[in-house]
Amino acid sequence: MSASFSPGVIIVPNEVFTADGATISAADGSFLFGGITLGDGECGSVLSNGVFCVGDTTGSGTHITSIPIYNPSLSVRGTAIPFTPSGFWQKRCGVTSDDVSTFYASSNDATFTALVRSFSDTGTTGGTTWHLDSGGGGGPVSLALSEDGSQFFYAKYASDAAPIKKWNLGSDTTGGTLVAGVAGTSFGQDLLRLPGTNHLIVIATTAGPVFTVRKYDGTSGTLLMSYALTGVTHEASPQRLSIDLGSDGSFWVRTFNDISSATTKFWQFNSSTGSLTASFTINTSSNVGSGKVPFSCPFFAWSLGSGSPTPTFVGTEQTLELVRVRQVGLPALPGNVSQFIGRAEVQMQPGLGVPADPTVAPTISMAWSGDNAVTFGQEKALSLGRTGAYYTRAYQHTVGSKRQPAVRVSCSDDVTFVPTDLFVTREEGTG
Amino acid sequence: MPIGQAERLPNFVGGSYQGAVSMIDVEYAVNLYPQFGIKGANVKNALLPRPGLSLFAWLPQAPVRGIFWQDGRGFAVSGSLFCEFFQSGDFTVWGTVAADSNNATICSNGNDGLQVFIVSGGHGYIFALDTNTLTDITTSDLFPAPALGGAFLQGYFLAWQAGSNLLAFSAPLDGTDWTLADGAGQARTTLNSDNISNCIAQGGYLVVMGTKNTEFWQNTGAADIAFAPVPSAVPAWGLDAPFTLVGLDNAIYGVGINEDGARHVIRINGYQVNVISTPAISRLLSTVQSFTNATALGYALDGHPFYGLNVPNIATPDHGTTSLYYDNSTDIWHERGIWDSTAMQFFLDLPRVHCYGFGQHLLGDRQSGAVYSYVVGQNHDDVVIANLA
Repeated sequence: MSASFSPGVIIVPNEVFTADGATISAADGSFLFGGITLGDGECGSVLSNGVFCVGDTTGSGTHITSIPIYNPSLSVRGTAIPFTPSGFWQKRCGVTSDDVSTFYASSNDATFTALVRSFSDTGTTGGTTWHLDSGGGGGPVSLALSEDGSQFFYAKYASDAAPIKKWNLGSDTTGGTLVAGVAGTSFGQDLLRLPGTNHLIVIATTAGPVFTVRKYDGTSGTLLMSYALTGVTHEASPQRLSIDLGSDGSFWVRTFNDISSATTKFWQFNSSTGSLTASFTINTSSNVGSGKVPFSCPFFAWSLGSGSPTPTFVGTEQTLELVRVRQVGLPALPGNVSQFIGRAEVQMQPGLGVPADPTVAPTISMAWSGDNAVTFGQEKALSLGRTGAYYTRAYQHTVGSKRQPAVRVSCSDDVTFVPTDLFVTREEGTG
Repeated sequence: MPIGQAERLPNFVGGSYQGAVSMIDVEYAVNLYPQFGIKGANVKNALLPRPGLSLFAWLPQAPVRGIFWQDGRGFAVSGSLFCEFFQSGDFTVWGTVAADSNNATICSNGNDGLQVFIVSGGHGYIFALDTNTLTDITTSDLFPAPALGGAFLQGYFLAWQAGSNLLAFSAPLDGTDWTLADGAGQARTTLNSDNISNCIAQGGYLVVMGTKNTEFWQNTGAADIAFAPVPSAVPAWGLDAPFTLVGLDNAIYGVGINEDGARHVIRINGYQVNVISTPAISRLLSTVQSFTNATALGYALDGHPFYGLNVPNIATPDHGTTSLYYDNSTDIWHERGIWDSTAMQFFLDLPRVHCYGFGQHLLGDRQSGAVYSYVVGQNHDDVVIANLA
């Protein structure tokens, strides 16, 4: 087994400066694999086929320098550098996708206009740069693409009274305001469009702080859902959102408590009803090292979906003896008389020893029947010789008188058992 | 042979033949198979050891019902999961499929179509090799759901329906499209009236084995219905156990049955059907009421093409339930199994399905999610045990 982004798994990429990436179970948060090297920025997105990208700050530690793109097997399939690395390309920049094959990343320019460029799932940068107006400028924006691909939804991240606005890709012009800004309310780092719909998910922060998951209609701006996240206290680390690749009807939220307790909670919501369908909390207090889950990151969830079977590794790994048996009857003597078998020898290569211990002589077993293999006498162990004992011969003396003789030779030891002959010495017996 | 002198037992190197009564013959070979007339060797005959099994990959669900490798990529159906496995033994689960106790079929239209076609649990699926996405195509127009199996032949994916005589084929090089207008089609076996038991693509034909008869379908190039049977070739042999049908050594093997009521293992070479089971093997097969869960695999090792048959509940006279293996190079049967030292008997060998990939034999386990490789010279099994029986 190894790490992969596959059904049943949530993947949490690297934390800046500290922890390697990790995978946890989407069922209960149990730790699966750590020590996974992925991008360490705090932005990323995923396609419906499990290909995902994560910003990386290597070389700067403070701003994005590239965006590696990963296969679900976690191998790198390409790297995108849609912007010149600088302090304007902040580690919490907005990144989104069309779900199919194209990612979009944002940055700022020197005038703090939000810039957006596309790149393919192998890292090829698109030719167009969109210049979103100052309503989203002045810092990193949260970003999403409309279902028909004609508009961006965007909002200035963590900015009081910031609206959610729209931008037309075709004309590089504003599409107006979708949700008006409200004093005392700011929106989180992620703006998520639910696949197959034009509905937007965002986390709103109000005084307290109180974090609320909201769903808006991307066409009318109507508020469709509101769910308060209780017990969330850590405002400095942005709450994160992720669609669920395993269930079209689910999305996930990741929240953080204060840094002293350093727990993080994963919440799975029903996209239609807004009801909480699952949640679990994991400890990230020691989030440095290969066996830990990074504290604050984007994450990508791929549950098995409702009603899907749970992966179960059936059985236990064992080493079994490989038992080899040859049974054969002896031809009758002339007149079908009883046979006295004075000697029987199995011809094969002796002196091979046992791989685990050359001083141990493997054995074969020989058993004889006098009634055509209906019943057998006691098995006799015949040595095949330890390693190098090439003069060993596997034979049995004075087998006895048999009316209908049959012999069974077997070997269960860890030795190459290639019998080539059975030699018998026999004569007319009694009985 | 002179009495009183050491004599070579003439039948010591041999296979399994346990007669109706022990007077006829009592011989068997388990995990050993004979080789005769070794050219240029000092010793002409020998009993060779079945190689040990080594754990290659452990997939998340049991059993491994289908396995396939082509051009560097390997896939398996593990329980209800469609997985890709890699040379390292690592794997990725690409999605869930419907599951039943039957084998799943996996085939591909290669670089021209970039698709893998999976039939599992009555459903059909297309896995896109370029985007790694799995799509359920069961409800596509002409797809013959519930499907029993699928194959690739001359640009088309073909599928056949369980419990009927219905065949269907996709649009050329596109398994997502089963639309009549796009070149897909349906046909029914018309030379005979029996239902399809199972099919296999071999030698340019789709060999359609019914419950009583066999038909050979080929691509006629016709614009409307691309596939049609060869009218002059209709052997009166059916397939008694659907999942014992295996292509091996340019022939087809399976547990056949005919109007005489006889159950034999048959080999189809061209249009010719030959019985390859000995009377002892045929008698053993006849002791089993249902062959529904019987499976078979085929592979060749060191010049020995093996057809291996797993029949649950089959019982040899005195050493348990073993897998029955036919060696096409010697025409001799032997047995294979894993030994239960508590029950003091053999149980069926673990391999259920086979493919050759990454330069090795890869074998899916019948009772766990393990994929094994054979290691020549290894004389133990490193395996995953879920249930010996």
